[in-house]
Formats: sequence, structure tokens, C-alpha cells
Amino acid sequence: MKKELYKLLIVLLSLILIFPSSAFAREGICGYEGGISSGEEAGRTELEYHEVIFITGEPVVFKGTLSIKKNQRKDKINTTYTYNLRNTEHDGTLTRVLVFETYAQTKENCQITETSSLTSARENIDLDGTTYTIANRSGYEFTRSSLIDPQPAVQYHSGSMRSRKVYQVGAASEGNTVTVECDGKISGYDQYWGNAESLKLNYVISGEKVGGNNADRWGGTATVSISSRSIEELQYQKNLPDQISFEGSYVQSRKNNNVLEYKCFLPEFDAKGVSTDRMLEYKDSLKIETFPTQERLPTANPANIRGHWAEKEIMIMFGLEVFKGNGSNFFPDNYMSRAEFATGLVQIAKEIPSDPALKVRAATTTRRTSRKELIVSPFDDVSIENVYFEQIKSAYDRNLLNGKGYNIFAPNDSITRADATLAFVRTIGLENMAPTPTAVADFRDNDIIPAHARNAAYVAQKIGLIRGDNRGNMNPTKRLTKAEAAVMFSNLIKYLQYDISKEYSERLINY
Amino acid sequence: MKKLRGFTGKLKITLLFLCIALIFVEVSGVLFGEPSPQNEPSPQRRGFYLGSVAIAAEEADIIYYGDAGAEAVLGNLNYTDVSRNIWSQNAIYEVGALGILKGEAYGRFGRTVPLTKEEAIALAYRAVGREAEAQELGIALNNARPVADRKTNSQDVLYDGFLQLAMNDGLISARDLADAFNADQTTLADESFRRKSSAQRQQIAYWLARTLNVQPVAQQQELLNYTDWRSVDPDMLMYVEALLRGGIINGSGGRINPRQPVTREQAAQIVKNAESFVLGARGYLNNSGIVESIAPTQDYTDGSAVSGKNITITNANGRLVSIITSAYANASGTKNENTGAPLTGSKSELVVLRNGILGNSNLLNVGDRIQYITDSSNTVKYVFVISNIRDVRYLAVQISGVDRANLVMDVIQLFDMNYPDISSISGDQSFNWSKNERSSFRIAESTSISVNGIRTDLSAVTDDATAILTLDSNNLVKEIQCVDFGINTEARRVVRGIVEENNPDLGYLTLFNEDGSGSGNSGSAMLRTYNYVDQNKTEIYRNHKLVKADSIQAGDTAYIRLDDDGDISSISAVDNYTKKYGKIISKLPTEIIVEYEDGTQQLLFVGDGVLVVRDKLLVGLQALNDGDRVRLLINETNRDTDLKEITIEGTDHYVTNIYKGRITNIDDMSDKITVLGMQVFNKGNWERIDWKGVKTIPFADGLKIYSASSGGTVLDIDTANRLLYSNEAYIAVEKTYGGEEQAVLLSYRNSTDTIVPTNSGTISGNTSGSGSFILAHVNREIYYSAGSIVVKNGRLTTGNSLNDKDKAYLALDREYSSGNYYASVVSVDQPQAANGMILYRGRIKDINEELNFTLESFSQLQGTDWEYSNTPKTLNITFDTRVLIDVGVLNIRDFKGYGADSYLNRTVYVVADGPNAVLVSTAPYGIENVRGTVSSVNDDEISLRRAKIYNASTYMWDNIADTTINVLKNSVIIKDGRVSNIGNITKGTTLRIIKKDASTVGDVYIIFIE
Repeated sequence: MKKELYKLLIVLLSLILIFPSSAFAREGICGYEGGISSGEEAGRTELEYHEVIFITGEPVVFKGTLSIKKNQRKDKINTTYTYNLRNTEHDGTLTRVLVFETYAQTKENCQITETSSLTSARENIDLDGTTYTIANRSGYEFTRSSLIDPQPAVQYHSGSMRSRKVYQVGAASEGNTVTVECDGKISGYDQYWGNAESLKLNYVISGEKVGGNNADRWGGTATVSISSRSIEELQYQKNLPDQISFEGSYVQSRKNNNVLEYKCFLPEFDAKGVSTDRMLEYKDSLKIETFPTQERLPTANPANIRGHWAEKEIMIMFGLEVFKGNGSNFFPDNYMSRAEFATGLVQIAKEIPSDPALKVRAATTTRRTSRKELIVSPFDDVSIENVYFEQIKSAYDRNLLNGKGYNIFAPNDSITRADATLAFVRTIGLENMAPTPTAVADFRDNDIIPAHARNAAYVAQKIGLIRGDNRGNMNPTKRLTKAEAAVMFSNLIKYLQYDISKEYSERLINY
Repeated sequence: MKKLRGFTGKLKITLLFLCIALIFVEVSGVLFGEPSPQNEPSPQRRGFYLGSVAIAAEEADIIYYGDAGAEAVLGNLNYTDVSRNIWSQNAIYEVGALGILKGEAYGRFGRTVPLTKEEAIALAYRAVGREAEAQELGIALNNARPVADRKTNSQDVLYDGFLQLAMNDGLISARDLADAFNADQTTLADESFRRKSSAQRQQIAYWLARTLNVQPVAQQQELLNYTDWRSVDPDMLMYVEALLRGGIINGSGGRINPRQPVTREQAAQIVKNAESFVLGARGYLNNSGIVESIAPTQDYTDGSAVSGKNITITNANGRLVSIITSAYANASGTKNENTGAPLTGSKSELVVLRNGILGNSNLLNVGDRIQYITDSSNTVKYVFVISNIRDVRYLAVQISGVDRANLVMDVIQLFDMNYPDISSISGDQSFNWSKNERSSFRIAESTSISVNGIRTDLSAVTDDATAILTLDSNNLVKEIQCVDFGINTEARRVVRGIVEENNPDLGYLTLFNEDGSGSGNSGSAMLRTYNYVDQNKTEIYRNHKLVKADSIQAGDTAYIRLDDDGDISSISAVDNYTKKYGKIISKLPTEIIVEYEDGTQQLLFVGDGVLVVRDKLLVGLQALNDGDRVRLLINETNRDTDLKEITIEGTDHYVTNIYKGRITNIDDMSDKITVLGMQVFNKGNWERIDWKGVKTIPFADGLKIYSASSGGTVLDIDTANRLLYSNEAYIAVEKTYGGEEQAVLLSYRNSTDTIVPTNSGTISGNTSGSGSFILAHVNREIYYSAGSIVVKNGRLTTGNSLNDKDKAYLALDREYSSGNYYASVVSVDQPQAANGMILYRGRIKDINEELNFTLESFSQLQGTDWEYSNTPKTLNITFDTRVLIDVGVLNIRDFKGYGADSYLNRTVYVVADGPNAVLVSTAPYGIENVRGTVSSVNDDEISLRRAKIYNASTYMWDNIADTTINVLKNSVIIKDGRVSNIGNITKGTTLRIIKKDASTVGDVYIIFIE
């Protein structure tokens, strides 16, 4: 009998066939040379770039541009980094061209492994009249590997790199060299509300000057911490005139913030330029901030929320189109149905934007075919004519929200706090932060949290997505009102904007 | 409780155990009676008795009260047509007690009488507690009628109100209402809405679904199982489906009969089925628990005697609650004005249904498993006794065989249960197979049998299945529920979970339930307690390292391997510490108060074992200061929070400067403040900065804005921009990445207040929480607030961190309105390094390369004089020893006493730190001491103004003209007793220098930065 209920819609779709392309981590915006760039910006491949080098025996900061070009063919990416840098104090120039080849492989559990190697390298540094040269690939060993873990709304990546550069100092025939060995850890994430990448690089720098009595050999170390992040910020702007159809609206602006902190131990050089036993510690930081770009969000005039506890959050949700319409029929204390919640979640936990620097070369086949495609609802109780169908399906496909049992979504049921919490934590993919087998959440009513949501409740409390009420209860079985949902959504946004990024920047650098 | 649990662990001889349990029961005075032999509790059962008695001594979590109206309700519910044999008895009494559906006439419920339309609507509204609304509407309606037409029957007026309400909410149409209000109902056409005719099933479902706010279900599923589904009114279809799905209404015989009438008892059951909605809408709670004790109480405190009962209940979730009933004796002389008989005092009592008998709290017995409904003001509205633990037992068993012909089953007894409900136990029950008893039970003829919740018969009960048996007092099986406990696995000897408590001294360890529950004091914790046989011989790992038993801590994840007796043979655990980030608000001798990033504060005990780390170095608690940012490693469990490690953040977030200026704008889009006429706070004085006019300062995420005065109120950016344009403010800035300064605190000065000239002083008399300190030298009380910029150890802190004898630079203001003095800026001066370095001058007699060198004799600088000692002085050469010669740094390996570049017999300055030479300089000998303030620094050239020269004969500093000096590559520069460099000399710095002669130009040999 149920079969009758499957309503199948046959839609004509024009499909542009493209080759399947692998997902790559969006790391490497700062390169792997111990510098920072101004970060990703749509339509820009040439970035402002600062770098600190240690090869002369003291830190020297170079500033200039870095351009990154990426080309993807199937599961391989070719990335070309071109550096053009200057240092005015020492009258220095640095040019460097590196070409990396990166392979990605998607594993059965949807994780992606990535391996990079260097295919060509050239570097010239001119500083105080001395030249430091890497002529070709043989002077630069490099390897990098990383693992990408795509979660419903956040893609995390973590990896490591190792490199060894041998610079010729002066003419190659003199045989003087400086060797820079580096091992580094890279971690980061990509999502709609922001992305971040952090590098922790450890350097060992050794200089070797040959030639009889003047022979001089020295070594030093340096650590460089780099954090590059961008955040989509939301800010309310009240209109200046009173006689305008809306009171104010939200501005979404993207801010890039890139910092570098270095600390190095290098020998002091005597008046003749020979290294001494005395080691000097240098410590400083660099920062590049870009000019924020902004975008305006729509607004509404909900009649029934003025002065409500959650007025601010509800207005943000109207701006983000979690709640739709002009707001005249909006009642903040009505319960939120699961369908509405799914709609909201799809709007908040947007898909991870694609890498703007990436040009997928294979997308040129223009053979158009007409094909009939069958759209089938994944749930028995959500017909494809349901106004929320698209959003429910999207939420389900992206694993943001599961059904309520076999083939049942229960779109009209009210969503409970426990279910909403679980959805949030799954969305950001952090359910595993809870201790095994099942965490004991620090709420007085821990025991009534449904077992399947207990880990999520624990994690959500730890990362600040939910808090207990003034009696320390989570109230997991309480149904969410629209106002409460707005507050929870806005907490999720705040987490995705700021809290998660702290973990990849300040906390990583400062401790 | 905890001790007892340990006790149970230690005792393995059941007999002895039982004795203790019984003695305990006797002592407590709780009348459990002697357990009959056939009802002998299993080990777990015993544990329960023991546990619950102990619990009773604890304080109740929640206190509920009897209902003052209970006696009246009991009178109303005294129906002659409802008895214990009626299937709907519980539903009828419950809806009656909640006032949703009352008797048809006095003393009669009218079970089989159909519900009329108006009654059905009233029922739907009463279910959600909206009777008062209807009452108001009804009265208003009636008052609006012409006097002649006014109704005198209150019931009719009330029903009018319900009907009107139904129309307002769209439950019935306006036409329906008009029909209903038609005075002569008999003349209405057949299809009209006759209020007194019986309501249809679908109507009741629809109305109830609407008032209960049940979400309509668009897709029919349940309905399609009934042959007559097409006859359901299309408007009501979605609601009927919703109620069918919720099990609130049900069909029978393949039909749902949408248009049939509903009897009153059916209606009562429908409401009972919708209990969760009904209670939710009214803010009521449905609880279940076991009566632990019933104690009579007497209270004479307010003059009249109040007697009552205190009924203690262990709730299903483990909470201990009390229900208090009371009865006032009539001491105030009130009488019935009709009969003159003294009134009985008011009572708050319970409505109790026990074994089919309705009555008050006297019906309750210790050991009753009850379900009770409480309202939002914690009044108990209705109590239903499910069974008594002595009459009925619930037993989890594994079935070993069923003799269907003779109705006998053989089972392995696993454990006793408090409720016949799988959700009341955890998935992994840690019983011992070897200790479980095998027994046989007779199955009652009428036994109800289910497998995974589906009704079936005995043929479906298979061997090896696990089941919950309901046994009556004769051990006859009344119910068999076959369910999967998840215990039939090979892995059952390995249990895992989060440690609730580890007590190796008493020989036990308790885990939370596998699903994370069990944080309350529920009796089921017994089932998760494991015993150490000999904890010194048990193999125990924590974080993969072999440790002692007491290293396992609450909150750890633990795997435990059990031996044949069910005791611990090995443990492997890992910690579940969490990292938290915050700022130290106050450091106390053994505690810290920390503020987390979300603004919450916590007091944490800092035990001896807590590691304090900075820059990957163990530093100890004394290195921690107020205002430091820290990362805490915390073991957080629901019992307590245990601090494990403190990591102090590196050098960032030091307050580098305090500025004053007029704020023209705070822009929260670009996070910048624009300041006009900026001045910097330098040792108590305000000095203009280089930059002229307007300067922008970026601000940090958490910028705090205050309106300073003795109060210190928080301001938001909007208000500041709107009302305080161009007002003067104090700004504290921190240095962040890239050397940029970032404002962290902005404190507006009240323009009517006056600036107090005092700019430094010593703090005294700052008692914590007083909000003020005494400035010692003027003995004046200075107030401070959150708006005061207090800097100590380079960190922004609060006034509470100021201690007696702190020397501070101050910016003080005096409040216009109160005349109080208050601190706008307090900057505590850093104490000087205790042991500075010593400056020697002497001739090198000997050099031991890379080891040491010896001065033949030496002079030591004391103030302005060189004191000569005619003894040799040997100083060590370390990795950090630096030698400066006229061309700059000399490689220490070239510091030799032989060859062409020998340094023997050279006269040098030596800066020494104890026995070690820090700096050796070949700068020439100088005798003249000059001091002055730097007016400019240009590469190696420094100009001094207000220069003075020391006159050794008069011991006076004489004024000389402005002096320009040249710093040599081997000049010695010392600041605060340490070797420094020219980078630390800036405009405004005061210097004391030693140079060759008294002229106003020339080389400088030694510079002291003061």
C-alpha cells in the first residue's frame, strides 16, 4: 500500500557532463616557506606576502607578493607559487618559483589523502651584496602529506611537511652553503563562515663556510607559527532615517587575518662576520590584514518579536533566510517543526565553498544530453510536493539531519533540544570529541538525555553551543520554540565564526 | 551510601550480608517486614533495600505537596458506576482528578453515555486547562443578552463560553455556533450543529488534536489500515491520522468508525492516551517512583496543630523526592453557618488509586511503585499505584526452557528490576553467570506475552531469549516481555564505561551506565560496581602506563576485564581531561578564580600536583599572576572539577601603553577607535605622542567600554558614539602580532570631574571587595571600579589585585557629584631586579681560553666612585660572554693571551654576574660622571638636555650646557643592572654616563639607563 504513496516526479534536466573531480584541501594559501599571505580573496591570485628568513644568521623580513596558480586534472593538482619579495633595510630581493604536484585519493570512508611533491624549484636571494641561490630541484627536497576529513558543514584537514633546502652562498665554485631543514605541521578547516589554516614550522639552519683558516660552521634553530584565517562577520546596522520601510539590516563582511610569530636562536657574529658562541634569541611577529568586503542581507519586519528575548537572533535568522517572508505571521514562541528546522540548518550550515584559485580544466566538454531523472523522496512521510522537500532532502543528503526511524522524517513533529543539539554537533563533525563509550554530560538532567544524543550534549556543552538553564538542566526533551531555535542557530554561527577559529590561531600560537 | 556500596563489594558471604541488611532495616525503623522465603531477594534486590534505606537519610531533591482540593475531588469521584473491574477505571479517575471530565450526575460517571458535542468541546479545552477562558467568555456572552434571554443555568453559560472559544479558534464554524446558540434546538435541520447531540469520533479527535496542538500529518499511513478511512471528513483527516499514529485513538475490527459516538469512558481513555500532550500543555509532570518511607509529621509552630505525612519516594531517575500532606486541626473556631457544627480543618491530601480502590494517602504503602502527576506548583494531582515491590517483582531472566503444555518455564535469574521497563536498566548488566540461580516458575493462564513489544503467545517465546518477568507474590508469572538486554555476547567479561567513582581503599570501582546515564543516585549503580580482589596485584594501566589503583579517576574511560567471580582482574583507562581557556581574575594561596571566554567564572582549587607551565617550562604557581591568560587542563565530572595543569600564555597580551585622548568615533565595522590629541602615560605623567591630530587605534574583540567615575558602568558602542562625542577617555592597549597596538579597555572620563595632580604613591589598605584603597603618603581613600585601568606585572587586572606596599603610578580624578577620589589609571611599578650586575675595571693578567681570565687588580664602581682593590679577580668565560672591541664584537675564541692579538695587559671594563663575565669591553677609562635627559637619538649620537656633571670635590651635580655624546661600538650600556643596548635609549630617557672629560661633546664609555 505504501508504494502508492511514493510519488515520483519525472523532470527533464539538461546535464552538462563533466569529469568527476577530487576534492582537495584548501591549504597552502601561505605556501610552505614560513611566510604569511593576505589570504584568499575572490578573483585575486596575487597576494600580499611577508616572510622571514634566517639564512644570514639573523631574521630578515621580506615583503612583496605571492601568486598562486592551480590547475586540476582529475585527481592531480599542479600548483605554481611565484614569490617576488624585497627588504629595504638590507637592500634585499628574493625571487622564488616553486611548482608542486599534489595527488588526492578518496578513501572508502570519504576521507581524502593528499600527497605533494616538488617538481621544479628556483630561488635567488640577494642581501647586502651576498647572493644565496637554489638553482634547481636538486637543491630543494620537499614532501608533504595530509588527510582531509569532510564533515557535513566543515572540512577539516591536517598534515605534515618536511623540506631541506641547500643554498649556495656566493658563487657556486666557492662552495659555501647554508642549509635549512624544516619540518612542519599543518592543520585547518574550511566552511562557509570562515576558514583557517595554521602551520607550525621548526627550522634547523646550518651555515658552512669552507676555506682554510676562515672556515666557519654554525647552527641555529627557529620556530615559526603561522595562522591564516578569514571570517564572515555579521553586524547589524540601524538606518539613520526613521521614515523608511525597515529599521535596519545585517551586513555580512569577510575579514582576513593572517599572523606569523617567529622565535629563533642564532649565533652572534663578530665584527669580521664570523660566528661566535653567544646565541641570540630573536622574537617577533608579522601581521597582514585585508580590507574587508561586505554584502547586505535581506530583512523583515516581524510584528511579534519587538522586545522579545531573542529579538536580535530572530532578526539574524530573517537575514539569513532561516525564517522567510516579511514576518507578519511569525510567532517566536510557537514550536519549530522538524521540517522548519531542517530548512534552517541548510541555510546556516551552508555547503563548503569551492576553492576560488582552482581552475578545473576538464570542464570543457559541452555535450548536452537530455535525460529523464527520477526524484524520489528519501522519506515516506515527506512527499516531493512538500514545500520543505528540497531542504529536507538536502539536509538528509548532506547528513545534517537524519530521519526519525525507518523512512520516517516526521516533518511536522516539533524538534526537541536533544535532537537539535545532536544535529548541530554532527554538522560540525565533532561528536567524537566525547569520551567513549558514552559521555556523562555535566547537566543535572543528564539521565533523561536520550542515549543517542548524550555524546552530542557533552560536546555541545564543552564547546559552548548549549548551556544549562539556571538550575543546570539541559531540558533535552523540551520542544524548541522558534525563538529558542534562533538562539541555538546563532550560537552555531558564532561557533563557526569565532570559537573554532581561535583553536587554529591564538591558542595554537600562544601556548 | 558510598561506604555501603563498598561494603557490599567486600562482603561475599550472602548470609552475613543479609543479616547486616536486615539489622540496618531494623535500626532505621522502617517496617519492611520479614521477607517471606519464596520472596527471598536476589543479591541485587538486597542491595536495593540497603541502598534505599541509606538514601532515605539523605535530603530530598524535590518536595511535592498534597492538594488542598483532594478531599473534594475524592468526593466527586465517588462514582457508583465505576469499580475495580472496569477497564477504564484508572483513566476515569485520572481525568476526573485533573478536572478534565467529571461525572455525568452526582455520584455517577455515566460510562456508556455518549459524549455530547458541547461536552466534547469542553473536554478538549479542559484537557489543556483553558476552562477559565471559556468561563469569562460565557459570562460576557450572557451579560450581552437581553435580560429576558439571559440563561440562569451556570453550566449552560459555561458551555456557551466553550462553544464561543471553539468558534474563535476555528474548531467549529460560525454557522455551527449560530446553530448551537439557537434557543430551540429541536427545530434545527438534520445536518445542523446540535450541541446536545452526541459528538462523532472524528470530531472529538479533531477538536482534541487542535487544542493539544498535535501537528497534523499530511500523509496517511495508519488510516489506510482501516477499511472505512474514506468516510473520515477530509478536513479532519490529517488530525485523525496524527492521533492514530500517536496511539491516542485506535480502531477496532479493521474500522475506525469516524462518525460513531464516543462513550464517556472511551473519551476518558482517549485523554489518558494523550497524557503526554495534556500534561505538557498544562505544565504538569508525570513521575514514577517507589515509596521508600511514610513518616507522620506534627507541627505546632503557628499555634494550630498540623498533622500530616512525609512520603519519601525514589524516583525512577534515581532522584529522591518527598510528598508532604497536611491537615490542620480546627483550632480557630470556624463553624458551618447553617448547622453550627465545627468545621474540620483544611487538608492537603492525595487522590490515590490503589488496587482499584480510590482514597487518600492512607492507601499508600511502603514499597508501592507509583505513578504520580504533579502540577507546576509541585502539587500532586493524582497517584496511581502500579504494584508493590513485595506483591510484584520484576525479574530479568534468560529463558532456558518452556514447558508449554504444563505452563512452566525454566530460567536463569539475572537480576531484579524496579520497573517492568527495559529503559530502566542499562545495556550492559554486569552480573556473574556463575552466580546466577536457575529456577522454575509457573506461568499463569492469563499471562500476557510480548516479544519486542509485540503482543503474542507462548509459542513465540524461544529458548535462550532474555525476558523481563512480572511475578506476583506467589511467584506466578503474570507477564513475559521478551527483550534483548544485549548481554549474550562473548565480550561480556570485558565491561567499559566512564568511571563514576574509584575507591580502592574500600575495594570497589563504579562505572556510569554504558549509555552515559546513572549520574543520579539510582539503585542501579549497584549493578555497575566492581570489586578489587587485591588492588596491589591487579594489572592497571592509565594512559597506557602501568599505575597503581588509586590513579584511576572519576571521569576516566575504563575497560575492565572481569574474572570468573565477576571481580576486576585488569583495568585499562585513559583520562578525559578537557582544555579550557580563560584569564586569572585572582590568585589566592591555594585557589585561583578564573574567568572563561564565555564570561563565566570559576573558583578552582590548586592542589600540590598541579603543573604550572610557561614556554614549555615548569615554573610553579608563584609565576602565575592576576590577569594572566591561561589554558587549564581540567578533569570535569558531574561531581567535581579537578584542576590538573595550568599553562600560562606566552608573552602576548601585555599592556604596553595607556593613552588619554578625545574619542571622536568608535567604529564597530572596522573595529577602530579614532582619537584626537593623544597622550601617553609615562611614569605618572601624560606626554604627547609623536603623532599629531587624529590617530586610529584598532580594538580587540573583547573591548570593554566604561563610563568611569567611582561607579564604572559598562557602555555599548552605540551609546558612546551617540552621547560621548569628543569626550576624553583613558585607553589601555596591548601589543599584538606585527607590533600593532590594540585597545582592550576604554574608560570615558566624566568631564565634570576634576583631575587630581597626585601621580604616584604607595597602595595600602586595599581589602578585597571594598572597592577602594588608601594612598599611603596622603592617607586618602581612592575608589576604583571596573572602569579603572589597573596594570600589574604588565597585565590588565582589577583593583582587587592591588596589594599593600605596591608602588604605583596613578592618574586620579575627583568626582564632581560626591567629592570622592577615584583612580582612572593605576600602573604598578615593576620591582627592580634584586641582584644587579657588578662593573669592574682592571688589567688582564691571564687568559685561560674559553674558560676564564684574571684581572691583576681591579676597581669596582660604587655609585660614582671607583673603589680600588689590590687583589686579583678571576672571572669565568661562558657561552654568553661577549667581548666588545673598538670595531665591535670580538669572537670569544679570539680572546687569547698570546700572539699578535694578545689581550694580556689590556685594561678592560667587565660586567660580571657573580663569578661569570657577561661583557668585556676595551673602552677607554673615563672619570667624569654626567647625567641628563635624552632629547634626541641619531644613530650613535645622543643629545642630552638638562645635563649635569658630578663635582667630586663638592659632591654636587653642577649644571652644564646641553651635551652631545657619541656611543662607541664598545661602550657599555646598562639598564636595571643588566647589559642593555642602544635600542633602549629613546627620547625622554634619563641617562647617567661616564666619559673621558668634562666637555659637552665626546665619546661615552659607560651608559646607565635610569
